[in-house]
Amino acid sequence: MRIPKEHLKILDIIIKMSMDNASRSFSKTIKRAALIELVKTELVDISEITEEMNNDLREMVASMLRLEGSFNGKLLFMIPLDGALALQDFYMQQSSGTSKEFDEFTEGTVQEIGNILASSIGNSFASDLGSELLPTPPRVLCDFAGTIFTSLIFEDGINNDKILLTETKFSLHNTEIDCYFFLLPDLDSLKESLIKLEKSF
Amino acid sequence: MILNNNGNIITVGVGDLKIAGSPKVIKTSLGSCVGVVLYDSIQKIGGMLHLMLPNCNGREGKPGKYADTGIPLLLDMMLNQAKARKNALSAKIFGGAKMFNVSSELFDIGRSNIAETQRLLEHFNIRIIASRLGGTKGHQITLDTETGIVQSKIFGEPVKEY
Repeated sequence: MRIPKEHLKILDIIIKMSMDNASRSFSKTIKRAALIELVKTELVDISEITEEMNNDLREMVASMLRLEGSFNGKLLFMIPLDGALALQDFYMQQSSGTSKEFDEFTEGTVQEIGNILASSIGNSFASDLGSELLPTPPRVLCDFAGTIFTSLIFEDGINNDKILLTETKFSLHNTEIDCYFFLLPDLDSLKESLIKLEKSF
Repeated sequence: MILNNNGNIITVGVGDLKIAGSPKVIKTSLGSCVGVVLYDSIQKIGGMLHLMLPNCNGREGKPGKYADTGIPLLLDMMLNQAKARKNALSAKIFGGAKMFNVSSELFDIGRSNIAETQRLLEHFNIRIIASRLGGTKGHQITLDTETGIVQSKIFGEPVKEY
């Protein structure tokens, strides 16, 4: 899998802008600042990136969905189980510590955050690339970090040893909670949109 | 693929394989993938493969992604690189969960991975002395090369030793 440096740069800029929008929507939803700690877009080796994820032994809750339209891709929002319970309290405007066990409300909260982030990304790409992107209904997963992440990259990893991945890390203001957002664009379908954008500069 | 002597904990990613002597810990997280652990109990050398699919079918790329290319490679590394003895080798296999919500058995990758792994180990005359397979949840495994014990943790269940 190859991507020209210029395209990687363009994508990086668009991702940074769209994650900025996404963090604003995320913050509004949970009424608490979701701060971006890291955004990176790079071609990664599937063994190296999963090795990194397999070092994280935490149990996570995640929302995974597909983006379909001008190009295709997959999105994953992932948060540690205890963080998901805190997020549920913020989202449902309950006092901290009310949610104690993972239930359908936790699942609904993570699903909703996944939806919001996906829509936000879709909107950014629509305005920056003129691409029409629609998210599919999210699937909620509760498992180890490494297992969830492998589910995200599995299909692409079958045919490619390297994948294009954007990783964003958020922290929630005044909490110890960190959460992760991954975008895995399908490079072949993305290329056309990037070429179009490059020509418009 | 490295013979890692730095640090005591070695993590294996998808489609990769690693070997180490004692005292080291080799670990990975599995879903529908299968983790193959080979261990030489006399020389205390262990190896772990994290395979994704049963067969390579002419695809290029990492041999560790597939059972039919990864298992022979792991065996070769154990015997020729780490100088393990074949008659002292045993295998333990883990993972192969049904992670993808599809009803057709044809697409049950976990089950196909398990079947091919078992077939190949038998083909190479490596005895499978322990396994924890299937299910629908993720699996963390940790091999202690000093003892050969594999700690296995399935999501939501207590740790078991094999």
